[in-house]
Amino acid sequence: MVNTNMKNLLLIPTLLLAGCSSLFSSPSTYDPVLYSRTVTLWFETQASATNCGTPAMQGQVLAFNRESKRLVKYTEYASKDLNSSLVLVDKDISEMNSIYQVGNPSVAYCKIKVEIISDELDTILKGMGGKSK
Amino acid sequence: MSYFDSFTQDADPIVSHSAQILEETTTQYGALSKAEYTELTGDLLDYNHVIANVTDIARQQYIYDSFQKMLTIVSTVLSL
Repeated sequence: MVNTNMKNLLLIPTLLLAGCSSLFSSPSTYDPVLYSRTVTLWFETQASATNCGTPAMQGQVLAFNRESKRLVKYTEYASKDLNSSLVLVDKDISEMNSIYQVGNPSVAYCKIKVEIISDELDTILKGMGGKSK
Repeated sequence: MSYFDSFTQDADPIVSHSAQILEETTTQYGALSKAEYTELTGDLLDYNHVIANVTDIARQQYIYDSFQKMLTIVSTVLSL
């Protein structure tokens, strides 16, 4: 008797919680492909800092921009929460690419820019790592 | 007094954080042109935006995970 009453008491909050579930849409789950590609971009941007001020940087920034656009497209329909952050990273890389396509910016600009982009990507990776697997 | 002092002490944490990063990095790498400063300041605001987005995602994930745990506990108790 007590057991049945207890079950009934638990049933009410369960139904209430089930009703609330529609309020919380499930966050997108961990995507190993996206994680891997973002790690690659993070690593390559970090490693490129040593090329600031050299002609090699122009081609590298162009490659980063291609990859950032690919990541934006990849998440456009699959992960809206990550897409909004990757759009910001793509904007920053695109600005850098535009500058490199018309000339050579200062070494200080290049180093700071690379550092900001790497930090943005690192923050995004932290968010991805915390997703349900 | 450094060029950044008034910004690093700004009441808005986004402005003070951005100015702090810019001050540290320019001390390390050298001065920038006005256009470069403007662009990098915008980037730092984007960076703060990314931090806010990720914090929000982490919070959503935490609520969702806790909710799933509660549901599992309640269904286990009900099935006893």
